[in-house]
Amino acid sequence: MERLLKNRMFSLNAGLSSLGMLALAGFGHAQVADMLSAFDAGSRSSGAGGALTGASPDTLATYYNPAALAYIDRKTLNIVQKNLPNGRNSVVGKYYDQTKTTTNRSGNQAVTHVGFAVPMSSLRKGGIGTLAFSYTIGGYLEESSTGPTNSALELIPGLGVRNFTEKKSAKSEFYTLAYGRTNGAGNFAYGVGLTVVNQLMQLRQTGLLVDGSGNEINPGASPISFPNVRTNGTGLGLLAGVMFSPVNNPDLSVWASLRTPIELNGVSKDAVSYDRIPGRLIAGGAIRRDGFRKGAQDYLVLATQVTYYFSGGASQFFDRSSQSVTSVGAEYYLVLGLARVPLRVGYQGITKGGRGFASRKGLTYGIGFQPGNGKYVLDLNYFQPSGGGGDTSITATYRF
Amino acid sequence: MQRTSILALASLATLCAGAAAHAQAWKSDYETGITEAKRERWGSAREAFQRAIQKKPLDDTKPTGMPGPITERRFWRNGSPYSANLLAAYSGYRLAAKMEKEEERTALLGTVAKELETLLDKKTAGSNAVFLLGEIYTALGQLEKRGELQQRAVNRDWREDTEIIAPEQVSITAGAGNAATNPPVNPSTNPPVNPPVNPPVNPPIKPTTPTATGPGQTTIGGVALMETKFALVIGNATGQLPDMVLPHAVEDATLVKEQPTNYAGYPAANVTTLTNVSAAEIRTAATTLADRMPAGATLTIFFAGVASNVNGRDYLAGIGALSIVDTNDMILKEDLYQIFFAKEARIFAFYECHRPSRDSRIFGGTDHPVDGQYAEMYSIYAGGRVPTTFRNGKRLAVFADAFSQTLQFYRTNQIPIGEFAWKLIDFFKTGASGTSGGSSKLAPTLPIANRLAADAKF
Repeated sequence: MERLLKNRMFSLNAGLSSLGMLALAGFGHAQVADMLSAFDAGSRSSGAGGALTGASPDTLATYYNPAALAYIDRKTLNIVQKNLPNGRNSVVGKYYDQTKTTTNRSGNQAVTHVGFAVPMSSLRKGGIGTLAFSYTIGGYLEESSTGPTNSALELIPGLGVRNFTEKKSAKSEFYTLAYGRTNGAGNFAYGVGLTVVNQLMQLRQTGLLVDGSGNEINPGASPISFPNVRTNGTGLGLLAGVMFSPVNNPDLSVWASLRTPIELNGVSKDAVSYDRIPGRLIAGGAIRRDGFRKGAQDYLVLATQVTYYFSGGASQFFDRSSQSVTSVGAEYYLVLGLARVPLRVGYQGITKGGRGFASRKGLTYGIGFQPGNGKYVLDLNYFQPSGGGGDTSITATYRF
Repeated sequence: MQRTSILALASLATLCAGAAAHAQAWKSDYETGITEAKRERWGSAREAFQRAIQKKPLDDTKPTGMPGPITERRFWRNGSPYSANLLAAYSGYRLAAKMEKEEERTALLGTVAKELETLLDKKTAGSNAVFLLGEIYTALGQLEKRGELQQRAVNRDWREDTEIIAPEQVSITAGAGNAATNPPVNPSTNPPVNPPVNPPVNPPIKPTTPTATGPGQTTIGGVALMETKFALVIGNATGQLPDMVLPHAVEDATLVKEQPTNYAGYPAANVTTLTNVSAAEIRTAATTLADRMPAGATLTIFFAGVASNVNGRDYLAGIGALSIVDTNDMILKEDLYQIFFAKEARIFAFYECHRPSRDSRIFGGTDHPVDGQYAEMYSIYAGGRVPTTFRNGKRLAVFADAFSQTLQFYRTNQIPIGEFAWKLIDFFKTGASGTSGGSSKLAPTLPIANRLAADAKF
């Protein structure tokens, strides 16, 4: 752990020395959508509810299911740009028992995934399988809270906090090296990956300590210090996955992948840091149908996928209980000559994964374009959650 | 729970790998067949395709999907149809061509024919299967069956894997009468293999039961083009000899010039058509055509116009000839032949002209060059005049009409001249009005051949 700023929580005078701990334990009503583990970095199937993340042959397979790497037969570069989630709270009530009104928003745009895959056959003659390396943002949370400016959040009788602000954020960055290959028949693929996580966590509070009349206490040198913590930890995890289609029915596919829990090293035992990124199990299936347009090669893919996160580490601000993501989606591939235009629609539901977070669910939409030579693919996907804060992602795939 | 999940994944992997290996066997056999065929090991190829058939019995016109990511459709052999039955039959056909014992060859061709007939009955056959079956019927001398085959509807939408079928033998899927304008099926997937070995053919000289197939009727798949086949079509409809000129000669030439390409395997570029030309122009065109011909090529000459025998020699008149004895604008028939004999060409000549007797001299009556290899057929017996008919509102020579119908009937790039002549006479006499009998006071001649067998093919 890198400790950037010392956690100087509420080092008031002796009479108030315990307030810091009480204050940190008091936040229980936040409603920000929980993307701490379940952030979708912007896979091509995001528009289909993310129901095909475990089956897409692109470099995001390094993150979701390395078995899908087996079906990458050309050097492939993927770059995803997506907005990060952002939640803003208006806080009223008591400092220890805040009532928050949350507005989920679309946050800043960021590159959430960069990956490069290389078929082994291009590295050496007779090489089998595909090797890939990627950077992926797999968890993200950003939450800002603002208290009233003309009144105070009561701390204890006769003491309150005015102009309260809090900024809480976390980001899980995964650096993954993965390999996937198929069996001889090509209907069964398996893959493994090694992932290194850099986990960033940050909490910062500000405010003015006021008395019961609203007068600032000890203007100038504040008797208390609000928490200002920024930590990071690193950990190592393993990833394995399989994908299967019956030989006589390639229009059916099932897949599964498992990621081990990742213990974070160097994380201190404070109110912010949590020391374990949850393990993850993905299981999904899809069917493919054609014949929707006479004489055309269009086809439809219907898919469903469940992602289950096991319990992870917990801290007072980042609680990690079990969490699940349910995805259902459809991709219709409109084949126009040699070009393909995938049209996507789906639904995704994310349960909350711990205290202080809210679930997230909504409809998804997407469209893509792949010209005839198949060298590049562009995908634009949109997630419209019921609580606001839609996600837009652009995925660019280039095949060398 | 995590341990359980890992065990489940491992178990799934083991099961899937085992099941896959068994189900892939037909693909391996099929690809072995392709490999063996490309090595000209037709027996091994046939056996490999038959092994594939045991595991996957029915040919399939649709691409065979391959396992892969569900979001991307991947097809076996880039979307090739599965044609193990057709290719097993084709391999048998090629194997038969190498057999020395006729009994064995005939037996194998009979077996292959039955296999193809079964494909047709199951409606899992396309134009290549039909074309191949037609060739086998011809090889077996089963012209009745061939005639019946021509009456059957062909599913032109049924795709077939033609990778090992020699380009010359790939059926051209096309509408009747326009085969040459259609590209071969899967041209990019059909690398040239080796020149086809034509199976021994020993058909009867005279067909037993004539079967008419006229324009607009269902025809079998297109005929493979052969670069060694050339044609010179001449139609002179004008001139200074009103009693001898054929006013419909241009229409006749126009009708005839399409047919060798559409039905007899003559590349369009190898067909030279001349209308209303002088003797010098005929000579020039013939020389130009001969320059392009490889040694040993096949040449078909169709001449419609004025022809005459002058002092015992046969001449073809240009449009400037002033009389039937004025050879200033005539080309000696033998001179025309000699241009092509120099290229070792085999000539099949068809003359559509009035054949009056003058001083007991008749065109085609006595002047038969002793050099070279050729066959000549005349549109009317000695002393007769060319009869005409109407087709699509145009007057045509019956001979040209019957010539066209006969090529359409056989629809092969290997037509035995004797058999062709008999069939032409049938069409001439019946006017394609039925399948038997027919009569006319007029009739074309049978071929006169010089060093050519009656079943020499053109």
